[in-house]
Amino acid sequence: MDDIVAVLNSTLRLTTPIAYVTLGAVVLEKSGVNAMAMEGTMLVGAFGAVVGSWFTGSAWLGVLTGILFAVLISLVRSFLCVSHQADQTVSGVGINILASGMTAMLLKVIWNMDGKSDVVTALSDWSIPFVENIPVVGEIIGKQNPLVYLLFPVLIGCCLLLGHTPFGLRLAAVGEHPEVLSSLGLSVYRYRYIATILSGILAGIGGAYLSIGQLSFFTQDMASGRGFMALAACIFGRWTALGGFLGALLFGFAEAVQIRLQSWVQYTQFIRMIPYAVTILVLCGFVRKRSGAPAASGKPYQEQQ
Amino acid sequence: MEKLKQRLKKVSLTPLYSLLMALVIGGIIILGSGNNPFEIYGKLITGALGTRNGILQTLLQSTPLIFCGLSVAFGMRGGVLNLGVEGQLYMGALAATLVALGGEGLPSVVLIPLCLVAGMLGGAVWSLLPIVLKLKRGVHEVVTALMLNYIATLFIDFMTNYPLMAEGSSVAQSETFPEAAWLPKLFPRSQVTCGIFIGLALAVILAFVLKKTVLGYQITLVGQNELSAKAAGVPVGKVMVTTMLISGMCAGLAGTVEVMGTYNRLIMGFSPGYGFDGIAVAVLGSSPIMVVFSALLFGILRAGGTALQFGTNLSVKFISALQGIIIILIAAPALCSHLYAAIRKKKKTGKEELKNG
Repeated sequence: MDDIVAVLNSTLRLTTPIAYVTLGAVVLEKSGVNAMAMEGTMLVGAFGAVVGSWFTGSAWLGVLTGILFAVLISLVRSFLCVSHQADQTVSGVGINILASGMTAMLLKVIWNMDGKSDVVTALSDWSIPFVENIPVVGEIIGKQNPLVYLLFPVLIGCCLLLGHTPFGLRLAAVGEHPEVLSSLGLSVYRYRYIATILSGILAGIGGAYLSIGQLSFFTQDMASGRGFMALAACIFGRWTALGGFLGALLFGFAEAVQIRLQSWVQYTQFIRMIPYAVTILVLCGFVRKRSGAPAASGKPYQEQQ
Repeated sequence: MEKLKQRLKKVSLTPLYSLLMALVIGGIIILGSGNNPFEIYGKLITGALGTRNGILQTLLQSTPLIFCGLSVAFGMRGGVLNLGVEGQLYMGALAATLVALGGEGLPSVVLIPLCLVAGMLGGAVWSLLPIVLKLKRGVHEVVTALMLNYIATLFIDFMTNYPLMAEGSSVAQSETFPEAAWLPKLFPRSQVTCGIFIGLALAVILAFVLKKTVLGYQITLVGQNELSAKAAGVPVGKVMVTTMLISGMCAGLAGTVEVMGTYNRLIMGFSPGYGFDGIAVAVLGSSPIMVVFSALLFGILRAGGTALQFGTNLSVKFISALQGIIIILIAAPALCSHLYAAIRKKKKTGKEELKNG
């Protein structure tokens, strides 16, 4: 029983960063820009959060800095592949490599350390009065990081925004048939940039949670594939916010089980493969003919002047 | 002469412009870190080419980059983006290690080719899943390949820590290979081996395959436009699988040459990300022959980058950042022409203003 509660508790904690990034990936892919750069964006967000927290001493300002950094790098990529029709996959790969190199390099510039930053102020857990005293439920959701709690309003917001507002429907149209939207006199670029900023904000929060939510420092390449898991979760959820969240939950669960098993098994390497193997399995089970994929995702579009 | 001129005109200068632009942006980053860009770039060059040791280090670093660059570049020709080079490199190295350790007593003439073939197979096997899943289930090969990189790295971690671990060793590494499996060293007091010639030969072979064979023609067709290749009767699926397998073989060879040449044993984490460097090498070089030069360039940057560790607050990671910038700039060929057009427009309007004013 204790094990189950512990696994559920850590599932929630480990789902959170992937879920934020997944929502970002959904928004971005909906607009017709592929989410290949989420890994790097998340990493930059994680780094920015530590930098912000280090210089201001406030974890919340750290989260804001993380968001800012992630939005900036997202804008750089969209500048190239929205405004200048770059190959989206290759530029995404480039952004990931740039993010990995830059953050590792700056570790030495700022802290004169290799591979890891100094310890900074982290976000402290919130405990919910009364709820935390309920047995089982309280142990799972009674005392968690504020960003875990924030995830749920954000998720509801994304669901409403994408499915039930004129903006969301237009965004989906941009990802399906940019020409149509353009012929109605709306700017495709504008929608794609708005989606870029939103996805940057979400990936930034996800990254910040990795560095100053779960831990209190940055380590080199700490996103370790979660950006791609988010992409897989987005596909698993057929490009919907709620579906994407369920996908993220699956990855969070896989990670939680993996960590739990590590203390029981001698050859931990095989256990650590689980989240990556799950990613591949999820992808081959759910992408069949890319059902639900935005038709224009990954395709460069040039706006007529 | 005319012919040469026409040929020169055809050569795309985008990679060169992008490289220059990346160096400028890199300079700004250096400036931001509180250093003098000229001093740092100077240090890079002298570190890589200024001394005998530096030059040998450059050759040593370039060797795996040639293989990895060829691997990615060959795939791209056929429209397959193989980002699993890092994993394929490790699996190739593992296969070669098993053969080298198992083939104790065999003479060099037999053992070295056997190891090379094993390494190629190891890489090819690990490249199969991404392409099969792409063709059968529509999964993007990039994501599968990247996930397989993590899995391969963990598998090597396991192999070097348990079944293959050298007796009495405190780090995760295999026993030293029998001497018959060592690639001949080229210079005294240096680890540069004839592996670099294997790389050059591979570049020539791949260039020949692409230019002069039916397979090469089919690969290029598929890479240019899948649909029209299909319409022309090219078996697209088969060609893509072949492309990926060849790409995987190159990657496997990269790891094989490293373990047989540089280290003479399998060490956990021996690659500092050569597979990812290969992307930048391939994007900059694009054709097999140019990949060799591009690999040399990145070899210089890597060798020089190690010189940055001392006396500055920068590290070899600066080179990774630079690679990322180069990749995103080359991925956006329109950026250069847009910039150029904007500058020309500005000049023009400036001149008109002068005229009118």
